[in-house]
Amino acid sequence: MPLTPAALRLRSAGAHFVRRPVGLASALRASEGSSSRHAVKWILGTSPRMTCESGVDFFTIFILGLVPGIHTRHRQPLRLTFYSAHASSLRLRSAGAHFVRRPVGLASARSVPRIGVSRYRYPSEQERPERSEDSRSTHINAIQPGGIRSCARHLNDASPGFFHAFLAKIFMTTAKQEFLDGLRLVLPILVAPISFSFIVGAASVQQGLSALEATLMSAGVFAGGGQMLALEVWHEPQAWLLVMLAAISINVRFALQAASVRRKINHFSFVERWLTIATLTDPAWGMSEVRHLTRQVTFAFIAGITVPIYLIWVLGTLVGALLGNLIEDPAKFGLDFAFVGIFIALALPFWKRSGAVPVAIASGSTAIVCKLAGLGAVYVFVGAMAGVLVAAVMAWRRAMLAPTP
Amino acid sequence: MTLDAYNMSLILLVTLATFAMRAGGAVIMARAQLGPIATAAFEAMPVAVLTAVAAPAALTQGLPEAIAGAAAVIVGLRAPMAVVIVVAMATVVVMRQVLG
Repeated sequence: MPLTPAALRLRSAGAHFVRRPVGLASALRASEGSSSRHAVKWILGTSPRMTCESGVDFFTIFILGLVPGIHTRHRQPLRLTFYSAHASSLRLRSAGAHFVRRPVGLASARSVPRIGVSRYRYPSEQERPERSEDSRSTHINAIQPGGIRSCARHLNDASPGFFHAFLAKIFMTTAKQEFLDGLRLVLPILVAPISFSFIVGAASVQQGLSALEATLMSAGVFAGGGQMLALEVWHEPQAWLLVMLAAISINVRFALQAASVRRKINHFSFVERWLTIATLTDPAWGMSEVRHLTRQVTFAFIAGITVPIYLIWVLGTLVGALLGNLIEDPAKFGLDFAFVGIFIALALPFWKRSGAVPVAIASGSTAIVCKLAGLGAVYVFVGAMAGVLVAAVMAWRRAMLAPTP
Repeated sequence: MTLDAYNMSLILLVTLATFAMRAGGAVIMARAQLGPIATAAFEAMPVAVLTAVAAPAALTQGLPEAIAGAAAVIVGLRAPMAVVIVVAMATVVVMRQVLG
């Protein structure tokens, strides 16, 4: 059976509780049942003239709005508003794009508030309506559900209080679900930020920062590798230049990650977008990339990843700094070597990648030579440049050897 | 719980530099398409920097540190990050006792 307008509309609002595509009449018959079904009734209202059982498509929804006998529960005329929908925009919308910001309506479009379209999630495979052999419904199944959802987005019900409260409820549960999805993914790896933040806190006080400064640094920088590397050169001459180089060189990966993530979060609001970018971490990036393969990435999902990491990071730094203050002689516990341990642990996943071994050998050996030659803290950057150069040459050779298409 | 001007200014610098990386990537690089060589160079940067820090620190300070670094690498091929750090610290403490 095809989607009914009610199911379509509910889906357009981000709801996926209508698991089974049901005919309009049967949906209405069932509306005395569960609360979700009840909502169908609420939104559509009941009318004896509403007899279409199945095969309802986008244009039928459109026409339904024009039939005088169909009205809402409050005896108000049923009004539908649409976003302008060209074929191309339909396609793009079904792909998750939401570039049409302004509702272009049939009637009273301006009265329709912009709903957080960004929050809907793609239905998973199980939730997708089954394909129907019914000839009447082929045309509706030919269009991706996302496109339909986006077109038939609003039913401007006469009781906006209820309607919008209802929508808000849906959005909240969807967002909550997204948040929990992110949380579930990030939980197993939280042990890394916990231990890392302790060490960063301890290392910060070891380098002469107060516990408050260490916490502020973690809250502001929110990038463990960069913080450790900056702390390593904290007391060198020209430290201001070295800490900046440290932060830039190790965090330059964020530039690549942010560039990639930015293309996937076009539908976020301005604030959501910049919160995401300003707090981008390796896990948030990686999981968003994976998530994007199957469904649209939402802000709630990213928040589910980033919020626990951020809280743990800041609090863990504070705890580590307070504990680090208690330790009289850091070398006795090998704490001075924690720096090296961290850098090895951070570098190991990279070393395992193909092509990284020559880079590591070049940068490591160059850095050792420069350090033994007494170059001071600059050895890090000379070594790093040697590694980057090797990587560039390797890529250049690959490009030369590759057959031109 | 004090705030030192020197520390705070450096913290601010690190914060700004890190944010500049994230924001720069989102604003500039999301629009520009990097060539394969530039991409490879950017991607190699973290591993190059990390190695340039870790290798001299592990290999030029003495035998206990070198052994601890090697132990960390071997353990790290299988174990998670926290274990690597603990192993590195424990090995260096033990080796300093044994050798020093």
